[in-house]
Amino acid sequence: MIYRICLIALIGFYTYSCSDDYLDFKPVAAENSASFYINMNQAEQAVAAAYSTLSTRTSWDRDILLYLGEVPSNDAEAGGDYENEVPGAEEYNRFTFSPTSALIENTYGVLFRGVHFSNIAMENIPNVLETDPNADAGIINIRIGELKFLRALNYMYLTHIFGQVPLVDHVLGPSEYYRDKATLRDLFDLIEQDLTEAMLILPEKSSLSASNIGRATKGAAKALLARMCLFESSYAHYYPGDSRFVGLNERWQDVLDICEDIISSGQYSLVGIDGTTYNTWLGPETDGYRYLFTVEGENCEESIFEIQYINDGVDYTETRAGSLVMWTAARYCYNTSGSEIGAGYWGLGWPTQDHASEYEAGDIRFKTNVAAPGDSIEIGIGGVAIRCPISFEHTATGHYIKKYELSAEQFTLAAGHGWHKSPFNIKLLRYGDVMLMAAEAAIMLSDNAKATTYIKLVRDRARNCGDGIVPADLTGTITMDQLIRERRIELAFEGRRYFDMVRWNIAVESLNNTQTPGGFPITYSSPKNDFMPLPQREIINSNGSLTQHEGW
Amino acid sequence: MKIQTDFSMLGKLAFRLMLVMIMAGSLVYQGLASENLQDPVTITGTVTDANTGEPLPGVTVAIKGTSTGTITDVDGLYSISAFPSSVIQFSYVGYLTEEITVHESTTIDVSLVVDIIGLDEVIVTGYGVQKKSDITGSIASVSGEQLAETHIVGVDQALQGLAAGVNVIPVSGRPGDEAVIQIRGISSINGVEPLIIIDGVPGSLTNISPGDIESIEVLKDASSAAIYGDSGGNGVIIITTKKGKSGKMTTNFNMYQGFEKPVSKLDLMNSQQWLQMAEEQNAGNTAITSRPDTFPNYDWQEILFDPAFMQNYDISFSGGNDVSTYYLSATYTDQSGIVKSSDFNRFTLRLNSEHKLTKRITFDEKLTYINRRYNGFPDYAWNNYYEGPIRLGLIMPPYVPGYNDTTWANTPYSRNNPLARLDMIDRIEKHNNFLGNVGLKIDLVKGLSFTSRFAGELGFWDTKEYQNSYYNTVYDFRYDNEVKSIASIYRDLSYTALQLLEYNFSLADAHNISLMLGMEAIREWGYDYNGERYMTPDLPDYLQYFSQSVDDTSINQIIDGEAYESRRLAYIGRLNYDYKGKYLLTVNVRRSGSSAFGPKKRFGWFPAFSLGWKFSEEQFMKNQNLISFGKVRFGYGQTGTYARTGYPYLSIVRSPSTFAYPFDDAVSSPGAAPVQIANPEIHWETIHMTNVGLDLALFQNRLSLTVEYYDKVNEDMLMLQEIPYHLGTYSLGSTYDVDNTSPEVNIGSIRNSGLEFTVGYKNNIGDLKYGIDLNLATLRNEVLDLASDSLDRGQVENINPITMTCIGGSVSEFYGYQTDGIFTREDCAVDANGDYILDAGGRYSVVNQPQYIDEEGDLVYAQPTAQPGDVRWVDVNGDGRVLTPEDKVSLGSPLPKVIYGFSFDLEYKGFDLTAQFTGTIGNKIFNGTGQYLYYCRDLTNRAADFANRYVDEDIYKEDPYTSELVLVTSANRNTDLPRNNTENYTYASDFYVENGSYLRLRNLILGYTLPSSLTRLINVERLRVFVGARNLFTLTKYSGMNPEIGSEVDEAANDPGILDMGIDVSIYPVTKMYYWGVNLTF
Repeated sequence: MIYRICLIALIGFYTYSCSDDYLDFKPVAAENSASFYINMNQAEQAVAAAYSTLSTRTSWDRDILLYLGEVPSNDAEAGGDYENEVPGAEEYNRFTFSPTSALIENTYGVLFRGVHFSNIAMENIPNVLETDPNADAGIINIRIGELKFLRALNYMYLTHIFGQVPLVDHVLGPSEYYRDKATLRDLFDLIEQDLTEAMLILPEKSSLSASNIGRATKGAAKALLARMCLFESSYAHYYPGDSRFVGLNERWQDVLDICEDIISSGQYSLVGIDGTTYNTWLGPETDGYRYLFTVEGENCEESIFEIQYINDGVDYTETRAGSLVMWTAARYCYNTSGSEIGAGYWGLGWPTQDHASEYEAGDIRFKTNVAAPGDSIEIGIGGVAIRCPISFEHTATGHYIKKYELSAEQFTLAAGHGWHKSPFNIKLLRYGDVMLMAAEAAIMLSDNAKATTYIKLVRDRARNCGDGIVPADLTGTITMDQLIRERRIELAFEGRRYFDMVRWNIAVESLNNTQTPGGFPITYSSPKNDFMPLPQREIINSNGSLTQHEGW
Repeated sequence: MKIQTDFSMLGKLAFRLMLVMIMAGSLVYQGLASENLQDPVTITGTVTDANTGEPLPGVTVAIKGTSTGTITDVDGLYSISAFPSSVIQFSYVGYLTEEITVHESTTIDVSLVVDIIGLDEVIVTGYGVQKKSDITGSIASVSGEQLAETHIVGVDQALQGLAAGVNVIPVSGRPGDEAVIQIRGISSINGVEPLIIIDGVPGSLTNISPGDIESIEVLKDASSAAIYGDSGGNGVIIITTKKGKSGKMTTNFNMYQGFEKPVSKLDLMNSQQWLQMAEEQNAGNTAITSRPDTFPNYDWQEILFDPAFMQNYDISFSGGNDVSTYYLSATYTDQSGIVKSSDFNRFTLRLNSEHKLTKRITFDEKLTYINRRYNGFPDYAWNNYYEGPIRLGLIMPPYVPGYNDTTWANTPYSRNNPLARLDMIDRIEKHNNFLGNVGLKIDLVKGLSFTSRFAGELGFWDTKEYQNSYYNTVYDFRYDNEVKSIASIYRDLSYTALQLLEYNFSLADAHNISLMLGMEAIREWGYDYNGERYMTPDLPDYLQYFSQSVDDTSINQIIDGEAYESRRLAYIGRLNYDYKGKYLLTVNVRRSGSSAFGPKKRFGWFPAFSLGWKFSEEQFMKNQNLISFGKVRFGYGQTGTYARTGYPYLSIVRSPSTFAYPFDDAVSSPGAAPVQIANPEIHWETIHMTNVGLDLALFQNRLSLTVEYYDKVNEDMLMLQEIPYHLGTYSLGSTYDVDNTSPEVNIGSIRNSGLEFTVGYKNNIGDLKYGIDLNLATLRNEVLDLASDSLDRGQVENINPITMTCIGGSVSEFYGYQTDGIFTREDCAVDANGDYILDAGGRYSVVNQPQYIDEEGDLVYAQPTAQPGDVRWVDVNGDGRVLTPEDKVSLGSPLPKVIYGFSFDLEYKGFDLTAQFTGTIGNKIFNGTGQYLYYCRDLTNRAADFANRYVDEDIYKEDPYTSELVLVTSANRNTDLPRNNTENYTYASDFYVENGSYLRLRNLILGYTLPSSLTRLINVERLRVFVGARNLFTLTKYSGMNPEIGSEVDEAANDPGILDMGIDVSIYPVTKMYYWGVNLTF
């Protein structure tokens, strides 16, 4: 009897596990791209992911803005504890990098990841209108606008840094993996088309609710488009006949029109232009220009688009926070007994003497941008915030960047703070920049009245933030030299200088045959150095379809 | 028929085959029955020992294939009735079984040969057993006794040196850490972990106590492992646990205790040597900073390493009757670490029993409970680049004590005091595993049986960690607001269901056939939760929980988790055939399916066959005495591996914290995106393997010899395909971001081949019995194809990468620059008077070096700033420049050319002595420990050897107390060791690549068994006491602590550590142990 029961039980069991269907089950705890994107919540997550590449660990703030936007220029040395402490940054100061440089590879990678995540979201989120009865077509439409802005933003910086790169305007299938770089004309067309569409869809900044404060707006799309037109016009103007810029046109009127469109929208103002002061960690009477670069001044009236950072106090923020304070603030200071101690910062991006001497004596912006002998810094020692005099023994230029300094409470002493964490946002687009873009376009259009008006506003603000005297208004015909100098001061260390130098075609004369403070000779040759080489791995993995830039 | 509708095609086939087999079986049965119609005759004879000629009492004499049998009497005489066609079997424990066909004889005298090398032993194979002499694949067998002698806590390390071609490398000496087992080389960059089978079902080596093991078999070649198909590609380790024997209850008690200490120490600078170096390095200071005679001296290796106590106890009860047998055991192991905060203990409980339910049905069960605990510093931090305590300790300046009066000693130069970290993190990790394995075997008709086995495992794994605050220096602290508690819960569940149908029969008394058909279904699933919460400092143990009542700062907490499931399904079949026991054939095939692959490529076929010829059975071999056994064999098969988890055929959307973005400056909004480009075509790595072997037994089986050659090629190795970043496939690296987003493709190929020798000799001289065993394996490893040019890995301090894997080379070769000694004053420019030409800074001009023409057209020296004492780098490509990527060359392979093990056993009147040696030949080690012990940036401690560095001139400094000039460092120009200059020591170069060959006395044991006449007085059957030592001495030229270097396996990052093997990064040192113990049977 037992024998039979067992036999039946076994045969039953045998047949149970016998079928190949046994392997068909839905993967647990894993959504795949075919099953995802079915409700509003998932659509929102797809959009957040497209934004998230902006806060990829050190990629935008340190790598793009500092190492690629400032260090190669004549405003900043790579710096650190001593010259060439960080060879991966110093090689951009010396122009000794190669297409295999990690920084070039990572930057290219993270920008294209931004493009990819925008493409993925753009193609998939409209599906939720069919699958989610509560889906809001209006919101989906706005999100598409944001994604177009983000794709344009990533491409804008790809062209700033690399010039010509492959054009990827949709998610590529296996047969489309390999492609050559596109012309700047095609790339700018994509950017312009994305931004023009985004401009129509996106809301103004003032209509954003508090929980949407970091999102792209109509103003952001316009400001970025103004920048694109500015770069297109500059390349066309300063590099006549250069094959890299074939098809680009001088569109100074477009630049001016778009900027004035932003100005007339009434959404933005230059903070502190009327002498208003603000309450920040530096005190209740902080001037407007300094206020721009504090945690308290984030998303203020001058801000058009910022990379949003928070320090949630838990470990995952380690991978996603504004780290510029960590990289740039003074390396050493003196403790109460007068001994030199590490301040806990890296002291990278030493401002050059060339930069420091651009300021008129008494210009308040110097104090905000540059640390000079006599300055102090707040650090945390043993859990207590202490203000210490900065030691300048270890900077060959005698300066450190001061613009991103935070309070010890906000940085070193913050719960769960780490080397790569600070609650500090980065302003990628701000109203002051729009003023200067408008002024530059007006100069090029020989509209001196407008040029004077816009440059005056920027100087007004600096003056009213300071002693009310310096800088004085400019008189007569505003020259490009004056504009260049104003941009250099107003936007110091905000990641624009080197891209501007290339745009104006002044990098060769300013950088070639110079040397670093330590005497290392710098050789800069155009066209080779105007843009970074495409990463070697891209050439290798392109199946022969991608060609390296000339000179590399 | 309702049932049939559930059958797939194969199921139907299996069912029909079963019917056919049952029918065929009954025919054969009838055939055998008809033979019995002849008249039986009575056979008598004597059985003697072939060696001594003495009669053997108690020998089993049986008619083969029947239940008729008898035993010999005290004079070795027997009498049995048989037919002329009958085959009589004579078997006796410890002797080779003899089989004789009756024919016309009525008297059959037999002399049995002692089975010294176990040719008659039955050994376990994949889904079955086979007599050792009939094996045609490559299977190494290790007995439980051999294993017990190693006195090692984990089965993995105990296997070291016991089987040819099985390379066991300890990942570290930390108690509870598992070793890496490599069987026959490295055939995949995705890991080489063999499949572990415990009592017929997949399991884990951590879930078993060595004391419970009856035998271990290692299936090395594809013809024996292909029956495991998709998971057999890296070889299979089959473990069989002990079971009871019928008879009175036997109790076994074993214990040993011992002390462990580091296997060796590094030679580091003392304070005086360190100070001289510091003065030299602080060249800018004109005054000496301290007086050497007032500086204390501390040995940080003494501070870090303490002798540690370990103990192991096991007790088992076994016995049974004709119906049931049982084996019940309990073991307890407690092992302290030689570094504080690294203790391990384990408790296991096992009950194995077997019951004959009816004449035809046998039921068995194996129930196990295992509790493992790891106490102390977190797993992830031991080998960490920044906070690994061993590494930090070794580089502490020797004047710094571990602790000062009240707290940890202040540590200079931005380094951390490892003791602070070890002291201020409390962690406990507990594993509770419950395993059950039940089987039912039914003898359906003669020769035909059906076995069903079901095994399940429940794993409970909990960790709790409390990171307390401390403040040591500005670089070494954890603030109060960073104090946190971390807890994790893991649940792992799995089952295996296995059904086997076996049929054995013989045709015409010459063709022996056994068939097996089977089916196996495996499901594994699980989930985990991890929580972290910031807390207040210095909480006592009982408050370190996520409790609101204790700490209300609940805002700072985070919880996350994961879940997984995978399933496998397989159909298996095997045919064993032999003709008169001389010509052997095995064919097996498996059709495997895995949920890891997409519907298109989910199933695969894994066929294999092997052939054998026992030439010693042939007539022409009968007239010689030299070769008592001889067999040649050949096998070929395909197996598979798949080391990864997840669903690479799908484009998985994930939502890691790195994809979140804070829109409102208060909380991050979660983000989600696909993290991998799918490859619907992904399938197994297929390993093709050929095996040729020769087995010989000589001199009446006293000497056994096995020689094997294998060639194995992985043709579809899985790799991430490098595709352009414009597809969005960039990731920051596993620590900071989600895993790679490139598609995984079957592109790579790696070949391994080698020769293996196993030699054993046993004999006795009077009462002295002795035995010698040797095994040796060669390895040749070659990468045939990759999805990208090369794979670079490995990092120590600031050197990166260290290894390169590229086509044509072997896996993970060291890769870097060549040095050619150092520059001396001879290489410097002199003026007409023969005086050295010095520049304003007093620097020499080294002219004896390569030159090139730069872009400006100037002639430039390859090393323009070189000084006497600097390394002369080799300009490999002759372009006049050095240290360019083109000057990098292979600096050797971490893979040994030969691995070997040998042992001696002696027994004399109750005394026994065993010595076991293991070693490697021809492997290189990258001395990463040396890298930071020579690195000249900070004033950390250095290797003692560094005191002999090049110093160009005497250095004098002023003593601030006496204002006298004091000689702080003497000139040392008569040396090869480069001067104190960072540039000389910060490249991956041949300076750090050392010969890693070694010979180690793995184990030395002396035992004494008390005479049983004495012990029986206290009712004890056997009482043995022993003393032993492990890793007593090592012969090696390697200058580091230990020549056995594995690699850092990072499971979290899906990195099996294949691509950065052989880099010594100051892991937890392997220990030397002295121990004593008792074996007691009563």
